[in-house]
Amino acid sequence: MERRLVERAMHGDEAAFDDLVERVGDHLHSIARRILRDPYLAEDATQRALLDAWQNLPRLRDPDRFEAWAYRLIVNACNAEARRERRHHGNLRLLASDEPFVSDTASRIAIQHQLDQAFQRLGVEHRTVVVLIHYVGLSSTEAAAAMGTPVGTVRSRLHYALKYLREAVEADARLERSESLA
Amino acid sequence: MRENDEFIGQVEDYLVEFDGDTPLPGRVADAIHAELPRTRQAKAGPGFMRMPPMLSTLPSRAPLGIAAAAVVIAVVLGAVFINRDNNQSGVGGVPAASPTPESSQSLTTLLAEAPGAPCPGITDEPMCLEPGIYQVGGIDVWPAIITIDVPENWWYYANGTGSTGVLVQTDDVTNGSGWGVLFNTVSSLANDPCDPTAGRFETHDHTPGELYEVMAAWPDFEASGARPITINGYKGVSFALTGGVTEAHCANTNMWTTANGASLDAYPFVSDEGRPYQVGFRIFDIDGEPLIVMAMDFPQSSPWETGMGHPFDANAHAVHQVEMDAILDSIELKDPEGGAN
Repeated sequence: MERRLVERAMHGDEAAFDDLVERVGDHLHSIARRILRDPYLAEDATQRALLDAWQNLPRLRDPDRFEAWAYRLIVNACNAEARRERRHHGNLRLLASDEPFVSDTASRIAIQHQLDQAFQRLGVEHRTVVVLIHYVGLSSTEAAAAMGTPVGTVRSRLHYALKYLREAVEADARLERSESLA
Repeated sequence: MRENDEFIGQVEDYLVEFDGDTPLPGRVADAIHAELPRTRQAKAGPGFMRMPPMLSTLPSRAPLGIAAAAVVIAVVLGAVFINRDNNQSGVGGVPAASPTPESSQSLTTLLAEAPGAPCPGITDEPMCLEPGIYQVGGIDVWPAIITIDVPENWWYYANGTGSTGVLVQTDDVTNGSGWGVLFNTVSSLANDPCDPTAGRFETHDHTPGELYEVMAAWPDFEASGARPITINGYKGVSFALTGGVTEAHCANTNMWTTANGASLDAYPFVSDEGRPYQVGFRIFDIDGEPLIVMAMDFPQSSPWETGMGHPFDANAHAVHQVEMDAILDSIELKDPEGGAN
């Protein structure tokens, strides 16, 4: 991220912030989509995070840390959205995923479908850690900073999430095999 | 290991391909752009009135400017959210009055928007709130509409979205008092505010009594005076915690995480001197979500004041305790959905 651009936005330059939105908006939105799995919630979370960024930019100590700081803001915004959604609807709205799946010879597609089913059953905090590390590419330490949790918590959540995903995929595969034999 | 690497690769492929390419919709970028002129930026340096360091996740010790701005954004975003219907994201709209029940929340002036007034006997500058009834938070993360009656010589304070209140104003209007009442959304409690490895207690759908049990078990603090309370039909528990530990003992302090994901430190229990302080807590169950009211229920100088170099005074806030009790007695809680509770 261009330091000068961040510095201009820190001093209230709206055009500079518009440029920042253009540069990081897609990425933050894609993170929110994967954590929240709901297009409307993801849009709201991204808007919330970016307006938080605009508001608090003057307090950012190191402009070079803008990107890491933005991860923190989008994770917080996703948490708030997920929480708000739980309060009003009892659970997260999920993208439609119950349409019948036609078995494909390409096992890769089948695994993607199984991962999708399992991923949506994970809690938002577990999805967050998987997305930050295996989609964004953060280290455990960086993910911990973004989530505001100890590194140990990140590692334990990641361990649990991957274990759950693996077991879910394997269980689905066993089920499909038994159904095809029946 | 190879099998594991293969599985990780499948997970990463899935995440890359999930939903395909999802750029930020132009209407969202437009909505953000439209909000910029209406959204004040926080001050870069210490504001005209510094506040106690309650939120450890803020980039530096929180002055008023950033905190006030955070509440303003909550109001703005809340207004956007309530304009959303089932089929359309609300992010593209400009906040406007809504015919939904939530719109009734704006009838009382928000603390963040309260007019300033002179502080009698302290300063003629508008460094205090105009006395009156105000709504504590916006409508975003707050489980209920909270109103309080603010007397003269008190001032607005906010830690960020989901943690806000009023502090008494004293002669040191530049630095503030660090003494007052704070209203908090809480998503998780620490099992031990001084030991992050002790784990956390997720508060959703737990009763005030269960939350009290967690806080009463905090190792360095003593709970007393627990009793049931009810305001406007919302049940809760009132109790006091007393404690005083040094920063050396409690370096990684955290009492709870707000609904917005921010971490609240254990002020005023943690200080350089480790003097004991008593804080009154009121925990309410708002339809499964906790609301914690935290009142500096001690007469002596606050750790913030002594930290600012003021001499310790055992009765610095004795008179303010009466005012604070009146504020606590004035609390009204209303259903944010507009229905009867």
